[in-house]
Amino acid sequence: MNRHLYGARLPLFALAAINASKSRTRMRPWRAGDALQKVHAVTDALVAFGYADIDRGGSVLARFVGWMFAFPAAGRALATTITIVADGGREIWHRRFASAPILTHLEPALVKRELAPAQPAVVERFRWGVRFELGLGERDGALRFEILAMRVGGVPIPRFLWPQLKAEERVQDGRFAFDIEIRLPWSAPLIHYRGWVEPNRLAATGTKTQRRAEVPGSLSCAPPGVA
Amino acid sequence: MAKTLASLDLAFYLLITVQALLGAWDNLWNHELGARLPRKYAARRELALHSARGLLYAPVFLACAWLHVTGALAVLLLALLALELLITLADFVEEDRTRTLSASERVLHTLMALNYGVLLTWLVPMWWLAAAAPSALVWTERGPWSWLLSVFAFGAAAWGVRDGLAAWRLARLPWWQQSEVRIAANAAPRSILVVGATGFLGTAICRRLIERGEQLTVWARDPSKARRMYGPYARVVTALEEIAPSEAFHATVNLAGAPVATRPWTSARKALLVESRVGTTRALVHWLAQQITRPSVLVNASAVGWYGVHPSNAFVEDGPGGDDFPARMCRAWEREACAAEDLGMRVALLRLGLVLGDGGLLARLLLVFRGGLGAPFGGGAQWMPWVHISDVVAVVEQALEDAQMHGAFNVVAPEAATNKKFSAALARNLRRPLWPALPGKLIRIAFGEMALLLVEGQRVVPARLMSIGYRFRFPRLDDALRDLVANRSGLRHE
Repeated sequence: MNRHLYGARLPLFALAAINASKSRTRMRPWRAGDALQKVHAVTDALVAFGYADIDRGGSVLARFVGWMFAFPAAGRALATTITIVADGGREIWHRRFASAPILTHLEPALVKRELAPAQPAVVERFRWGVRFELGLGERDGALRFEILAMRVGGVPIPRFLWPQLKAEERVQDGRFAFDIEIRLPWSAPLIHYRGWVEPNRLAATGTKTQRRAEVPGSLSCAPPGVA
Repeated sequence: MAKTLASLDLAFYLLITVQALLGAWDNLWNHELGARLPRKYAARRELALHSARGLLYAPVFLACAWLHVTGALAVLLLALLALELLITLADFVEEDRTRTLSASERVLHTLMALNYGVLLTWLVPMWWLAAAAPSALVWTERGPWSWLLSVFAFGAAAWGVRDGLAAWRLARLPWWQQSEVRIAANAAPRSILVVGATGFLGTAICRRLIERGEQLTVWARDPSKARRMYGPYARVVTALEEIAPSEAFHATVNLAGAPVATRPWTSARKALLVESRVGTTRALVHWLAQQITRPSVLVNASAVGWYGVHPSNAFVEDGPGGDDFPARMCRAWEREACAAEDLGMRVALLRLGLVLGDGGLLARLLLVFRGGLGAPFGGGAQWMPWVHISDVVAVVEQALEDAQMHGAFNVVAPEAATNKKFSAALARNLRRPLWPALPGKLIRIAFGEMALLLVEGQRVVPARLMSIGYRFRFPRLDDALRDLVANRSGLRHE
């Protein structure tokens, strides 16, 4: 299943995060040495196109938070572009729904929770110094996330103030499908976006395996060893 | 005594009236009706000079009409006279450079110069003496002369505005309206799709292809800009879906990409740089896959940034790739283009160095160097692979036809130059001083990560171009800069 999931060859997260040897989440952890890790570490850049539906919460606070974070307006079948740029030890994720962009940074981190050993996770940084530490896991063939911690300007935020996140990504019909729902702490809807993009050509992925093969040069367009 | 002074005053006003009338005649008869300067692209600089002069004359006329000035205001008027003199000298040079003056215009200009000289002998001592006095401005009515000079002031200002607007409009004319387009007879014109046609490179390449008699279709994000730039000489589409799947193109040229060196590389900027290159190329190749008849070749731009930066290594096309942001972006860009090989197309990847032309980075460097403020960046020892835009255009032409051109090609001139050598050559060609190098740290603080374009580089060798026998138009840096600085060859970017 993992292989299939990563068959989409979308760079999901920074390599170190995928390297997680254990996860303390309720979900099945990622295992070191997984084949998907070898196939899937994107080191360059990727642009993928698709479509998405977006619902927005209607409460005053949901509107305010949406405005603060420049969330895109609600709509159906919005042309979607995801641009991912490997940038040092992190990834720039730029999502464009219709013409509205959302930009976040993803990077690997070790999250220490109470007395448990530190566990690898992914840190996603938004504007205004808001950052989430996200645990990764697999359930029912989908990659899922859960919030492990939230900080604003480096200050830890108590759990009761965290937004509620339901996020899963999977491969469907060769497309990379996503379904992300974020609610305010007391369950009022904030934003729900779901859709797919097609990152589906080998030529577009730039996996580490492929890149190693390319490094000797590119006299021909087709990199040596790649059909 | 009083009678003498009155006679002198009368002579002065008569001379200034003669000057104004001659100027009006020159503008109306010679510039507007004779040479028709406001309609000529080549006259745009002359018009700008006329505009500046007209706008300077207006306050001088008004001061002579209504005011008696002393102190700082007299100094200001003297400065205006000096500036006017400089503008007139520049105007003499400019009009000799761009057009042939009629005999009557030459005579008229000489008479005006003589008359102006006499006026200066009047005004300069008067305001020079007044400058020593405390600053003051006294309203002094001079009867009908005041009103007549006011009319002249109004006329000079109005003409200044008119010439200024004409110069501004002409400077914005697209190339095909600047002069007659000469299209070569082409018995078998090819249909070529160009992506990224409105940029600095695209303009030069499309212009050349049009002049060769090829039929261009331009895919542009900004169709109004593309239509303005190419008028009737190219078809503009805003989406590839506007082109029927049955329509056949002989070739595709992909130059799309937001400018790399204009804004700091924030995360949003990096995403845009990648999206505009990698995303556009992906969309193009996806569309090509759906075409019934595909072009035989895709000529795709890339950059020498593919190799990363290195202080000493000389990179040929099969050299190792780098690991900084430009290298990763170029690699992803080339991968997308290479996918067209799977469609049976020949793909030529042009890894461009710093393109020297009337636009791009050189245009910005010229501003600084022309102002006498040029200096190398950082240590100055970093390599600066460069290429004249004429060679880029010629390489694209060859890539469209030559089946040997397959895979990556370094499009840089054979003569390697460090930043110090490049800066010295630019200063020499402009006859300007070269200052000691700007500290690299300062540049890094000012430009952030983008500073690597300035303070770091890589030595790149056009091995494959030379192996297929390409002959560079400008293999030497001095020749290239001399051509661009002196001739400003018509490769102007909008």
